[in-house]
This record gives sequence, C-alpha cells and structure tokens, in this order.
Amino acid sequence: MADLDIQPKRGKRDAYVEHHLASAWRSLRGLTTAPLASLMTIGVLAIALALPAAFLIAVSQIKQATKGFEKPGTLSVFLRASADQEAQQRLYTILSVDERLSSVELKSPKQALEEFKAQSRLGEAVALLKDNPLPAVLKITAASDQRTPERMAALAEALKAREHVDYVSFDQRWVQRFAGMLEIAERLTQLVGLMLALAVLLVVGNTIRLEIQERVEEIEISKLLGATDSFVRRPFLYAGVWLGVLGGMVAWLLLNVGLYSLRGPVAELARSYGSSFSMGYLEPLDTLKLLVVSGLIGWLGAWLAAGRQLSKIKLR
Amino acid sequence: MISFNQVSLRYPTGLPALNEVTFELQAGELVFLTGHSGAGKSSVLKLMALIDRPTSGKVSVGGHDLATINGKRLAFYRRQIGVVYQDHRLLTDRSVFENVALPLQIAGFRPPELGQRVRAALDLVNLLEKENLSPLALSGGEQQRVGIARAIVTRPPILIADEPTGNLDPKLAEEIMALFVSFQQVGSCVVIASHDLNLIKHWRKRTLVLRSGELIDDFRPD
Repeated sequence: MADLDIQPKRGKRDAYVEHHLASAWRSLRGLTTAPLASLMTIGVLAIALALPAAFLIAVSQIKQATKGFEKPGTLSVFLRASADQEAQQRLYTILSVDERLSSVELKSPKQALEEFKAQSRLGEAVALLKDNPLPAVLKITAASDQRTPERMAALAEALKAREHVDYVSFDQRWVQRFAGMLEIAERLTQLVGLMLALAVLLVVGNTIRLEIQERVEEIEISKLLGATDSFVRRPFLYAGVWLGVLGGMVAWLLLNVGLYSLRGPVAELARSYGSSFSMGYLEPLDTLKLLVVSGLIGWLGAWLAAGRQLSKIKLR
Repeated sequence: MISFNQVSLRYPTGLPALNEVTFELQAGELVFLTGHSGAGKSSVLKLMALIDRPTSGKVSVGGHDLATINGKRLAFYRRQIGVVYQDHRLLTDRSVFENVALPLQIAGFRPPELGQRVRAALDLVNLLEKENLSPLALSGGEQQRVGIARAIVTRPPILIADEPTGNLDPKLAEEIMALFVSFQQVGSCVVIASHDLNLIKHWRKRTLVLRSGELIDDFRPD
C-alpha cells in the first residue's frame, strides 16, 4: 500500500462552497432551536447597535440642518451702496491676494437678493420692492493662522478701514461654539459606538462560547474524523454573523420607527424657525453599512470566542 | 505501515501507560491487540490516531514520523484512519445517515457519491433500513455498527477498533469481523483492541499482548 497522503490540499471547490452554505443554513436553523434565547440576544444586540446609530443620525441630521450656517473663520464684508461694480471688483482683486485670507467670494447685490429670496421664503414680499436694498458682499474666509479671536478682530478692523466698506460681520462665536459642541457630540457618539460595539462583540462571543460548550462532543468527533480547525469553526462564525445581521436588522427597524415618530415634531420645530428641514429615514447605503458593520462585529465576536474555546478542547 | 519504536507514554499524573513498546505492522495485516483492562491497548490506539503523543520513542505511520504532524496535516492524517470507538461516539442530534456521512463531508464528498457510500457502508453493517433514525433509537449493538460504518465509509488505509464486537451477539460479531477481514484483504491495515480471547482464538491472526504497558508477546499463528 502506498504511503499515507496527508499533505493539506485545497478542498474540492463545490464541496467547500456547499459546506459554507450548509454551515450558514445549519447555524441559522440553530437559532430557532432556542427561539426565546435567540430573540433576547438579538434584542440586546439591536439596542446596542441602534443607540450609537441613532446618535450618529442625530448628529448628521443636525449638521445637515445647520449646513447654511457660516463656518468659523468667515467674515462678511458689506460694501456701501455707493460702491459700483468696478469698485467692488477692485476690492475683490486686492483681497484675493491678501495672504491673511484663504478665500474671497464676491456676491453682487443681485446674487445676494436671489439668495435671500431662496432662503427666507419671502420671495413674494421682496418682489414688491422697487429697488434692491441689499449691498454687495464679500464672503471671506480667513487663513487658518488668523482664526484666533484677536486676529479675527484685527482683520475685521483692517477690512473696515478700507474704502467702500460699510460694515464687517465676523461675530460667529456662537456658530463656533455650536460647531464645537457638534464635534464633541460626534466624538462622544463615536466613543459610545465603540463601547457598544465592544458590548455586541462580548454578547456574541458569550453566546458562541455557550454554543461551543454545548457542542463539545460534536467538535471532538469532527476533529477525530479529520476536520480542520476552519471546518469546525465555520458554523460558529456563521452563527455570529447571523446574530450580528439579525441584530442589525432589528436595530434598523427600531431606528426607522424612532425617526418616523420624530419626523412630525422636528418638521414642526423647523417650520417655526422658517426652515424647510425635514428628517429623513435611513438611506439604503446607511442601512447597508449598518448591516455590514453588525455582521462583521458578530463575525469577529464569534471568531474570538471560537478560537479561544476550540483551543481548550482536548481530544480523548 | 505502522511502526512503534521504543515508545513510552506517561499520563499527566506521571503514571506509565506504555513502556518502551516496539512493533511493526504491515499493510494488509490484521492484528489483535489484547491484554487486561489498563494494559495499554487504548493507549496504543490513541497514539496511532494521534490523539496522544508519546513521551519518548517514535511512532511512524505510512512513512510519516507522527511527531512531525501538526496543524492541517494532522487533520488530513486523521482522515486516513478509520476509528471504531468503544463508546461509539455518535452524534445523537443527527440521524444514522448523517453520522455516517460526517467523515465524507469532512473529506469533501458530495452527493450523489456521498449518499452511495453511506448507504453501502450501512448495508455492510445491516443498518440500511435504519438510516433515518436517531442513534438514540438504536440498541447498543446497533450503535456499535453505526460507529463501524462511519469508520469504514471513507475506505481508510488504516482501520483501528477499540472493542468493536463488545456489544454484539456472536453472529453479528462474526459478521463484523468478516468485514474487518475483507478490509485487510484489500490492503488496509486493521488493528483491533479486544480482550475477547474466544474471538482472537477463532480468527487466528497476529496478536500483540500487552501487560501493564509492556508488550509481552507478539504471537503469529502462521
């Protein structure tokens, strides 16, 4: 008889794919054998996934709602009505090469009026006016090294001293504070997200650990019959992915129910501020991201738990 | 095919299980391993199946020094060895068919060959009509036969069995032994641990006798 053939080789591709499908199906079916326990686990995962996602959505929607706000480091230079087009252009050219400024945009009275009409919803009232009351404006962004309160004040003074300049608006401290708060909220959300992702990882890991403990006999027998570690690990990884994805799906449902219930009151509030802002539902791409991330966390939790638990099993 | 050279094994407690055991088995040979309980029969089988590793000495199987076999090669090595366990080691949440199919699935077999092989193996142990039952619905002897079907389904070049006829009536034990002999005749190396002296005498095959972990006799009837 020839020597034993024990060299690892690539498995038959069809059988490999088939085992993946069988593992996926068996692990999904496995969740239904203890439906209450599975539902509770999925519920916990859904809440842990929905919370950071809800915060992220809130921050993103607030950002969207306040997109029109001026950014820190911007100044609005209002020109006198006496400044004709040539004077406006000349000032624009001079400021364009000023190293203290990173960008300069000239808005003619006509452009300013159009913007005002669009943003204020007072188009009809404005149309009644005989003359355009708005001046030309230079929208200026200071260079990043000029954005301290002192330098911004000095810059505003210098701009105000120029010919044809009527008024300089740069008091954007509240916007800065708001942007700062938004950034803190965003960071906090990321931090909470990270901690809850860790919680999901632990919940999935613990579930898989218990599952492995229940199936030690099967694992031992499979290994004795020549199963590789990846063959043994595969059903548990799929179980982790299923838990993650199902948790993600329930989280998606919770989020959309939450968004639906907030949609009306938020739109009402926005209207009272003259804004047409309205909360949207989770975009398809965000939904996909949520499901992929939750599936990946589930997979990682299962991989860590399976690796640890399987290494503990000693054949007898 | 299988070579033990000065092989010793100690349990983690420090007690000796085998002491400098040396023998060689050829392909196409059927060998009984006998001795009292605790003589070291199961330890020899565990070393062959790479469930244990020797404390000292060298075990070679099919030209491979087992000390060098690890990781994926260990899994592939185990696929070449059919093992019949004394306690059957069947999965009770799967049917008889699924239990016998497991080594084939691990080896990457697919239907229809998988089904054909499983049914052929079940037919050999007279359990074809019980393929859909759970092992829990079977008697001890039937469970033993499912374990045998699972061990032979991949047609391994090495077949080892720990008390394979222990739970069987004499007629069935005869049939199962005939099955092992048929494997021997097609070139497999068959090692059977048994303390059933009547069985050993009846079949008149080479017999390794162990006592307190030492090989005290290597009886060759011819």
